[in-house]
Amino acid sequence: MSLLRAKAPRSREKRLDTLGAWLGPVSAASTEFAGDEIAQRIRTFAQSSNDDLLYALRILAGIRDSVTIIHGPRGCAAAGLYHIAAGCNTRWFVTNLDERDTIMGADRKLRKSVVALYRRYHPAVVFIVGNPVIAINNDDIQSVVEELHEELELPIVPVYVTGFSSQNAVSGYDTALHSLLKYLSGNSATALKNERINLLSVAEHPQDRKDAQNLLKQLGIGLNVIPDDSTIDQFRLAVSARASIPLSPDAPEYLGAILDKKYGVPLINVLRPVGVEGTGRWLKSIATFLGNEEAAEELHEIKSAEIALQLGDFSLKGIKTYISLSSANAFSVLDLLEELGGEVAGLTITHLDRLHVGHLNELALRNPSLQIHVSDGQAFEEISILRKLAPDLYLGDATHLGQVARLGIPVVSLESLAIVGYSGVVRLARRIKTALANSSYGLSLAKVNSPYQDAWFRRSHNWHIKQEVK
Amino acid sequence: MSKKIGKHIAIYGKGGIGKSTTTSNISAALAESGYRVIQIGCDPKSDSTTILRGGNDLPTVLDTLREQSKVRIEDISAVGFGGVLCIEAGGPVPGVGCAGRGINAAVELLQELKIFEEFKPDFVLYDVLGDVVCGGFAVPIRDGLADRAFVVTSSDFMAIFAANNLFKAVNKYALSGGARLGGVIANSILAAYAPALIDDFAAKTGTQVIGYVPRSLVVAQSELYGKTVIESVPQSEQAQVYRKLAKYIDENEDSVIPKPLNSPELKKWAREWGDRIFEVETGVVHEMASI
Repeated sequence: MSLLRAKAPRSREKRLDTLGAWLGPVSAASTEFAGDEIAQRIRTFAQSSNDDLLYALRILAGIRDSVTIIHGPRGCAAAGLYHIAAGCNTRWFVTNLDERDTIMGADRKLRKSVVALYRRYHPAVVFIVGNPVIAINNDDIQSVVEELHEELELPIVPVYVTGFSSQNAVSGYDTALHSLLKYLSGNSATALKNERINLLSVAEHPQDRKDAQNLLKQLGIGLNVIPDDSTIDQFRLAVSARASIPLSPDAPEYLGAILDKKYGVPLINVLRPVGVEGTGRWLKSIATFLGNEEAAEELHEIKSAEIALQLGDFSLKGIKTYISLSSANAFSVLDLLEELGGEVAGLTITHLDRLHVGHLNELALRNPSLQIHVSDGQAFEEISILRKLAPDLYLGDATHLGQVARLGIPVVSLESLAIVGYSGVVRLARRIKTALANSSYGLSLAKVNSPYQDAWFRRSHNWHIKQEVK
Repeated sequence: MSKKIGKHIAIYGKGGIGKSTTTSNISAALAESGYRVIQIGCDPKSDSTTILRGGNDLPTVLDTLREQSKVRIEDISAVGFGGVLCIEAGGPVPGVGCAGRGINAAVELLQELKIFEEFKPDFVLYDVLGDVVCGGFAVPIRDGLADRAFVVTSSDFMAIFAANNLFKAVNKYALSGGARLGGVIANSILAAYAPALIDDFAAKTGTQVIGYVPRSLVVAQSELYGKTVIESVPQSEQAQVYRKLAKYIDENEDSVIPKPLNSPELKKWAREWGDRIFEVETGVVHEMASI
């Protein structure tokens, strides 16, 4: 079957054996992923959980000349609010389905919304995003798409998010990317290639993207950045690029894989450009592909020397850090911390799958007992783990930084800190230095009573993580 | 986009109208002519392929999904008469869940298992319950799964009513890549007026009758033995009727977008036929009618 024929891609669990719940040493993870069958894990209790709709909207929010319609009851639009809060400047609407719509079908309402928004904004593309109500009702989006696409001469892209097909929100990236590719990229596998390189950037910090772009520009590489902060024309151009390089091997994986398999745009498989060595490896991988290794080598040497000068005698020697980030980000930050002389006490990552096998195997050799905790939003588990491990420093996104600080652990938020590229190393080092030097705030917070009872802390950390039995 | 493997045909009809019997006999006839056939029962009753399998048990796709995390093709299929690959989508436990979503999930699983790529069928027949054409039951005709749909109907008004409803669904989805209507299969023909009534309905809705299957004891008998007519009485006239239908489906690619009647039109049409049948039965002679 053609790669893009289905309405939506297979879930990450099915494609990559993705686990959303796991706890154990890295050696056990490595052994498990060496096998053919991965037993799914379930959480018998979850404090909070992300939804694939959120992740799909994150992709669509990157396409500047678009309008997004969340086709569902108004509560489903809460996912859109999240992106407003995150500062995304995107135009999105909700069809606000009522009880009658869910019984009689809501295609008329959807049609009216598309036409009205087209007249008001004249976007280059309209996205129609599904949700559980639409999926359960089998509501008809397709005929509205076909009909209005011709009538308005406008690309209308349905994104069939269900909210229940996958337990891992990261699948939402794939669902949105699948639709973008299916409806905007055409069928031609033999499109005339241009000299540009696709820089695949999904949900990246704008400064990270900018730094990566600048580095590639210094090597004289012409870029087409998708899908973050792009237009549909850029997306269309992607199929005729010379190659694709991802800013992360995780989030844009589906995009890179389809561009490679269906459109013959080679995907350069490389880890995040984080840390001096990581950035050098990233630059050299694309330069090697383009036959320009010397320039990359030269740039790397100059930049490494600059960074060494800026870092001075900064070292993380003797500092044990706990990392809690999205998976590919966490693994690359781990490398960076080790590069700075530090030690990693443990990891909490959002998901674990076959894309991470390389990291797992490498870590299993280097540090087999390192504990990996897989969780997206389970602060209660993480706090218990941190209390036991008592690291000297915590690096994470902003979601439960406050709670970690109350354990008296110095925290650094990577939510709004750009860490890609050479300059990212310095930025992170400065932030860490500040956090370690100002520990008294955390120590004061630690005097406040814990929101958790001792009984919870006495339980094993994987109390709620069970192997799925059928 | 890659080419679809085999011709995909959906056969709809009101429950109990003989749709599974007809579909199974068509599958058997196609298999007898040397074709590779898959028959997929899309009905929570999950008895579509019984007479192709000699009445043996076959776990449904949904039952298997409920019990196993990894499902293989062998777990949910059985090879029946003439090598027909039999699959039953099944449904949730009666009284809970959504049968329509069940069909959806089953079809998705079949695609995931790459069953068409593996089996390389010439024909895939979806046998779908036609009483309820909610979103789920419309899956085979709306998502580009089937190329053509056929409707099995008798001359009973409720069967015609269900057929008309199906026409509405085909009419809605055909423009956006859904299946078109191949025609009507008139089943359980007993009364003398039945063919004319179904012909008239087909004409009014812009479609055609592709075959008339008489009501026959042979069918009932074969079913009791858990067999298709093609298998149990291959020389019978009834078997010939099914072979003709299969031949039509094989050789004829004609399809239309039907024009379903709206509710008042359908009522008016039914009333007129009611009057006509009453007159025939009671022997009313109209003024000026030549005798």
